[in-house]
Amino acid sequence: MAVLDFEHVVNMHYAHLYRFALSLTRTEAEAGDLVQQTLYLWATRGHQLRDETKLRPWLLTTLHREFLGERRHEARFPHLEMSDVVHELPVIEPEWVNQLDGHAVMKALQQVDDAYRAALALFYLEDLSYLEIAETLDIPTGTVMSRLSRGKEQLRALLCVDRDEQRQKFSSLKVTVADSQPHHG
Amino acid sequence: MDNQEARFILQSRRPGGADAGDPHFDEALAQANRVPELASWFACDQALDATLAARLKEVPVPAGLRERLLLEQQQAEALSPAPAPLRRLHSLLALAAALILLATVAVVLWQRPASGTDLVAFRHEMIANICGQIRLSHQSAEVAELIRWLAEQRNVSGITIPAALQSRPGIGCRTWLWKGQPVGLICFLTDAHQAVHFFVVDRATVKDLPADLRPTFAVESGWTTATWTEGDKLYVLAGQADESTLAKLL
Repeated sequence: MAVLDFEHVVNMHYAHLYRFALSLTRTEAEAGDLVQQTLYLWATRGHQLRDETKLRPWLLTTLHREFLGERRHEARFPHLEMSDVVHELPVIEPEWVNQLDGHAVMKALQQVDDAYRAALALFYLEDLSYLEIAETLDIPTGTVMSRLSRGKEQLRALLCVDRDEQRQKFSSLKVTVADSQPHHG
Repeated sequence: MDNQEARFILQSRRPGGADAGDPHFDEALAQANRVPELASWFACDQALDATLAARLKEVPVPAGLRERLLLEQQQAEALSPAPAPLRRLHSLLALAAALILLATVAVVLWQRPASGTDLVAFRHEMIANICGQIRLSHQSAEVAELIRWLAEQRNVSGITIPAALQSRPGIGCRTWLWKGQPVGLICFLTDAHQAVHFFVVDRATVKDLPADLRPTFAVESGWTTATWTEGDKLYVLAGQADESTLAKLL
């Protein structure tokens, strides 16, 4: 099988890696650096990967490890049991999310706790299954399910706050406009 | 399985049917088929997940990121003795090349210059400095940034770079001392993705220079060099290329 070319790897994966990195780091500059470091590691160590189908998981795993390493994030994430997870997710309408742009949803995702964010980002951005997420992050599948559940709860709560704030602003704007109308009669 | 358990499991199911064949979800789906309230919740959950995923994938990637990634890799390869894939594929050859390189460096370092002039000695030592990996003090593709850094951080200023060379992207810079005086080095990337090295030193540092030295080419230890003076500076451009390639950069 042909050795993968660096430019080909960049073309195929840099956008995916960037969005995943952005969800983890919260800043464009840090995300760009994290992607660069990941690709550098592939160029220096990852050439033994001959199967292109294994490349994406390798890159995502490496990026996540680099992120954890850079943050000196040695704390072990709690392995949540199902009983710990609150199942009553905040109610938020897809129509409301449709009105938001990608930046607003990304901003909310970036505020989700570190413990849940990587699993959630891989679920939404990379369409990975819970099994693939477990392999990528090297955690048990039960932990992935708990993190997805708790992460979704947080993400929706954050979007609800955003929605309620905007509705409040809109509501006060209407009052202001109504108050400023000239009185007739 | 109760509804709470079913919700917990179904939250891990991807929207769009990607998990259709996974038996892990069968029991929870069967529960949703029996309980309309759960079915309704699941439909909303999947719709919301699909929308969130679509919005997140719309986040734009910064303009120029792809080019920056490619350029930085080219720079890293240009500064290495051989690109990483070649090292992996030809590890034995690389080992042999490394031994030859070490031998060359040793010869360059210890061999007395053929000519006794200061210029030959200067050029000789600069080539020795760039054999093998070069440790740069500052990296940037912006040549103006490298010139500014040398002036501000190393007091090497008044540099005149030939226009053709200046149009090439920079890699980085550093300084060495020669006879106690700073020698500036700026590395550039050529069209062929090879590094060329531009040295500058005060001409007074090197003795017995001609009054007006036009670009003079020489070959030493596999490096082609062009040496010239302009104003109060002496310049040496070195590259692992032929004379005509180097001349196009002057």
